[in-house]
Amino acid sequence: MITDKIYDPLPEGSQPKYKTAGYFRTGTLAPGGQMPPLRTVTELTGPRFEASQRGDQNLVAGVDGLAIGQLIRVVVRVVDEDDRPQPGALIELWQANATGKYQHPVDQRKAPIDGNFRSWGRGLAGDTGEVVFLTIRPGAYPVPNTDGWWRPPHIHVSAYGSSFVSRLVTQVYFPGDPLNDLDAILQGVPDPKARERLMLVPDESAGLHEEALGYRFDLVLRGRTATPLEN
Amino acid sequence: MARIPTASQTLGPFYSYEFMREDDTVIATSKAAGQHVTLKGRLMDKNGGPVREGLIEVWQADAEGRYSGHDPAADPEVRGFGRCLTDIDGSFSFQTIIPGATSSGGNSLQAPHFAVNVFASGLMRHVTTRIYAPGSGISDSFLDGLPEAAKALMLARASDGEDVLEADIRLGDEGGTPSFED
Repeated sequence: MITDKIYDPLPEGSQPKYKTAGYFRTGTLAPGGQMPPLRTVTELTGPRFEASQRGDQNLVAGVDGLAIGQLIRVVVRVVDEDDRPQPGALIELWQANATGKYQHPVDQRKAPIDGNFRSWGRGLAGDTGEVVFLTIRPGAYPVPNTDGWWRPPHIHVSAYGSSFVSRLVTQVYFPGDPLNDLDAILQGVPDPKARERLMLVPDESAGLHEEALGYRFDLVLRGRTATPLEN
Repeated sequence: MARIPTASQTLGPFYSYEFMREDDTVIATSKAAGQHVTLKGRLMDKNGGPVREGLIEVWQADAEGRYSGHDPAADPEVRGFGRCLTDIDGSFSFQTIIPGATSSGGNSLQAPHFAVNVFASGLMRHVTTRIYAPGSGISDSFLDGLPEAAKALMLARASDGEDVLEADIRLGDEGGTPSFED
């Protein structure tokens, strides 16, 4: 029942401001005064994805062998605001290779491509809300035309949840990397606790013994399944 | 246990083309009931410059106002969802039908509209807006309550006879397309 879903206002500081210091481009894109949200059948429904959208979750199995880099296994768990798993959520993930280079025509930087690495993955969450990816820790890379800004190693994650309002695109980071504190995009999230929640969580049980380091990440999408309202 | 939604981060310029399927811009097939249109426009920044590598996502009802996956009677030829990466000139385009009026709760209706989420490199969070089909004649308390200028920015323009709906999306804090808070 869509009427059972509740979308509370987001806590102050838990989301980035549209205009972010140190990230010049935000200035010409940030919207002005916004209208209060609509919560009609339009927003409380959303696309569902078929099993045919299930993609490859292994980014490192190249034709000539394993991709170069620190092998990692990342367990992404998709939940709602009540911590309920979101089966059927579509997760897309993309990232740079170990040298910080993307397989993308917009990335013009002179850095080596790894022919055994595929820079994207995709999967549908199962009953536990989990999608598991085998990839590598990406490299840092410089942002062109800036005063020495390097993006810290990060993985882009896109999620389609149960409704149009549940949609989320974010980036997840590696805890303790010194570039994290200098990154305008990560630091654009005002609340330190909210930034902490963008860190991958090291967990040996998520890894592969003597093969891949393990990380977990809980992706919390908008919406909750409230107890039905009494009439 | 109550949990706080994960913070958004910008799409960045490197969203993989591999994610895009050929039919991602087909919201309704040629067999769908209703008036078929190309829904197109340009994504622009505050200065009117093109925003390339942006991701435009559309969610809409079928010709009778029913949403796919949520109303068993919904037209199976209307997936209701489409997405398009903007071109170097900021342009996007979808094949679809004009949706029917949908319920806004109770007995009142919402005028035919497309829900839109916009992602781009430099947008720290996505922008949510709507595009309304022109000339529906449906009384809509939200749309009718908007100032005329804002209303004009949210209404698509019909062109090429009735076959094309044009709606540019302009970001920025001056004269931009009206958008909604989360």
